[in-house]
Order: sequence, then structure tokens, then C-alpha cells
Amino acid sequence: MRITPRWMAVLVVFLLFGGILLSMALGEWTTKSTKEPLKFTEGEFAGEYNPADIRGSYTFGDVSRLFDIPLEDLAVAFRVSEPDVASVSLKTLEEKFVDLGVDLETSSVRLFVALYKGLPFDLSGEDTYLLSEASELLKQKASLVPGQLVYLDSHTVNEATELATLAIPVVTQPSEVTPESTPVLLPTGGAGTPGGDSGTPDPEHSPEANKVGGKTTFQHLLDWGVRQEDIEKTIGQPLPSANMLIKDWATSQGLSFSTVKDQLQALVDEVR
Amino acid sequence: MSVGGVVSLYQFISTGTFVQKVHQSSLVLMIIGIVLALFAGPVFCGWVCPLGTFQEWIAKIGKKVFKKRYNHFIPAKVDSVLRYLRYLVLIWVVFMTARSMTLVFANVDPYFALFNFWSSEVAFGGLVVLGLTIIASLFVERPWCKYACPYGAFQGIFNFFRVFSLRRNTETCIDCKACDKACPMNIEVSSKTVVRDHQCISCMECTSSAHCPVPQTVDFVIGGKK
Repeated sequence: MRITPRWMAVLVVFLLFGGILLSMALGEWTTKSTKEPLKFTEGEFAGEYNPADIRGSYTFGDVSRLFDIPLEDLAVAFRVSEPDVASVSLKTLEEKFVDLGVDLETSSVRLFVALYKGLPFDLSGEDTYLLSEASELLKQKASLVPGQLVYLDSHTVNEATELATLAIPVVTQPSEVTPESTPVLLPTGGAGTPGGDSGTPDPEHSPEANKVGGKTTFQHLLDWGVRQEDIEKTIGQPLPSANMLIKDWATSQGLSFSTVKDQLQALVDEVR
Repeated sequence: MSVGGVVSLYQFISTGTFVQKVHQSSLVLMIIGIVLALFAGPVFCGWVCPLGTFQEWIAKIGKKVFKKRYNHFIPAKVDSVLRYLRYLVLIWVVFMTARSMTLVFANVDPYFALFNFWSSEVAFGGLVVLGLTIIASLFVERPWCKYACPYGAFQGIFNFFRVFSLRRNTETCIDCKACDKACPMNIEVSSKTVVRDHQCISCMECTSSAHCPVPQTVDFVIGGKK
């Protein structure tokens, strides 16, 4: 059986448009996102929406509905002057604040929502800024820990000062939620270093002894008696900075933290 | 859109959601593309893809300027290696999309840039790649398809087991090489009995219905018989 160009054209049109029509009939043809962010799958916040998955196509109404944040607060935090705040799309922020000199866009909404609701948020990738109104609102309404306040102060757009001189501390927060994680932004003295400005571990956030978790560093493993060569053998490369959070390292390598955690926990259990 | 379905497949399987800017319709188009490819190979590339058509329009200028030299600037040895580059692109795109859960390819996608160049959503990288594609199209036919398109790479795999295969009848072939000259992907059809080249885009330009002067000599047929 031979197929000619004419029949090929018929086949293409039939399958392409027939397939689309069929999917429409079955209700499977959707060209818009469901406006439903990913949920945390484990840990204390399992089942809750992850603010990191808020998208530019969302409106403030979507954010308010999904995260139960009053529209009035969102309007103040992002200077939304339009009468219908709920219908304003997040993607308009970038253009609206283009003159500020820093990126103030959807990522800012993600940060605001995370702090407002006390949800975990990964800030290791990029610096995210908020307007002074948003920072003030968070200080009034959210339960912020000292590290978060430090971060806010250095990441609040102060239009009266030179933006270029803003201090930009490296702030990290594990992206996955585990039972060991806490919904705070951990300020660090260096990349991935736990312990706040002083560089010493915050006792409140110290990891449980001999238990590998979200706040465990490679130094903790060494302190617990695990040999460096065993760690290196497990992670398949030379030991990174000893003060680096294992979770941050796993994230930077594109590895599942839970898998790495289990392997390193096995080493810890061996030396117990 | 269908490429969005392919590259976000990992996230869809693992979490049931799509990466940003990819919707369920992309998955539907991906399935349609696969069904078409199962029948006759990369039909999407040869018959549907607007970027491919756009490159062919640019090619008309190149053909007028360079005549027979057009589409033969790159040495065959270099060309044959570069043809696999798009598989590296495919692997990179799928891996990075799965890892970042964002449509990383959008930042360099000439397809998106071509149809959204007036919009602020187009990344500078996409415009640069589009510009390079346009310039390259003046010298090479379908350069994006040949060397970089990840979706073309994916579709090309189906050439090895498509239901309709492109066959040349050696008994009636007069070896005029009209099929070779007509092929936009520089496939040497005249040296093959069955074309299973991953670069074939099923455009049918080489067939007896188009450029082959001998009836029923180069055709798309089911199995091994006409």
C-alpha cells in the first residue's frame, strides 16, 4: 500500500485536528494552567501549597485564595492601586517596578507569601527583594525570626538610597520539607553556613544528635565520628565545605536529599 | 507546544503537574505527534512545523543566490557529526527541565521567539538563536531542524520503525539522483533501499509523486511491498 502526498495531507489534518477535537470533547484540551501550585509532599507542611510554585500567570486573587492572605495586605505590599486587586496579574509587577533597579516580580510575591504564612522557601538561587510596605507588613503580621528580619532589612527596596550598595547576604533554606526542617529562612555567614550572623550554630536550630536532617552539615557528620573518606565515598566526590548544609549540597547537585540523607544516616548509624 | 509535552513528561509522571507555560494541550499535541510519527515518521516536522516552513521561505533566497552550492557548504564529514548535536540538545533540555521544573528551553527557543518576538516574554537568547537560524537558513536548508531541534530529534527516532517506510525500487530507479537533490535534509536517498535516516522529515519531496521522475520508484509504502 502506497501513500501519496495528498493522502498524507489528509492523514495529517485528520489526526491533528481530529485529535484536538476528540480531546476537546473529552474535556482534556486545556490551554491554561490550573492555577494550582505544587504542594509540599512531606514533613510538617505536607499537603500545603508551595509558594515557590506561584506563577506569573496567577492573579493576586489567586494568591489570596490559595494561601488565604487578605487581598488588602497584598495590595499594600505590592502597591496595587487598581480597584479590582484580585484581577491584577503578577506578571505585571516586573514592568510596574522596572525603574527600581532590582527585580521585583513574581519571585517577590513568592517570598512575601512564604514569610507571611511561615512556609519554607529556598532562597539559595537568587536574591529576592520586597517593597518597604511589604517588609513593614511582614514585621507587623508575621512571626519572623531574627534571621528573617536581617534578610528583610537587606532585601527591602529603599528608593531613597543607592540600590547598588544593598548588602546581599547569602541566605539558604532547604527546598524540600522534611520533619527536621523548620519554616524559617536561615541566615548564614557564608554560602550554606548555618548559624546566623555570628557564624555559630543557633541552639534552637541545631540538628538532633546523630540524626541527619535538613540542618545537618558535613561538619556534624565528622563530629559524630564518621570518617571523611566514608563521606566522600558516599557522595562520590571530595568533601565540600565542611560547614555546608548537606541538604544544600544535595540540592546543588540535583540529587534527592532524602536519598543522600538515608545513605549518610547509614554511615552515622555504623559509628554509633 | 508539543515539545513542551515531551520535555515536561518527567514532571507530569512524577508529580502530575506541568512545568510553567506548559498545559495539558501540550500533552495532547505530543500524543498526536507520536501517533503521526508511528505512522510515517516526523510528519510534524515536514508538514506542520511553522518554523520549518519559515526556514524554507528563507531557503528560497539562499537558493537564488547560491544556486547549486546552496545546502552544500558544510563538509560532509563535519555535517554527519553535527547531525547528532540535536540529541545532545534533547538530553540537555529534558534533564534541565526535569531538574529545574521550568521550561529552560524557552530561553533559547527560536520557535517561541518567532511567534512572540513582539512580546516582552521572549528571552534575548531566543531572539539570538532565531537570528542565527535565519542567517544559517541562507546557506543551509532547515539548519535548526538538522542540528539543534530537540523535538525533531525525538521525532526522528520513529524513522527506525514507522509503519509507512520510504522505499526506493532499485529495479526501476534510473539513478538520476533527483531524490538526493530534492531532499532538504541532504539524505542520499539514491543509495538506499529503505530510508531509515533519523533526519528524514517525511516531506515526500523525494517521492515519485514529487521530484522522482519515474513512477512508483520512490514511495511511502507499508512494510516492504508496494
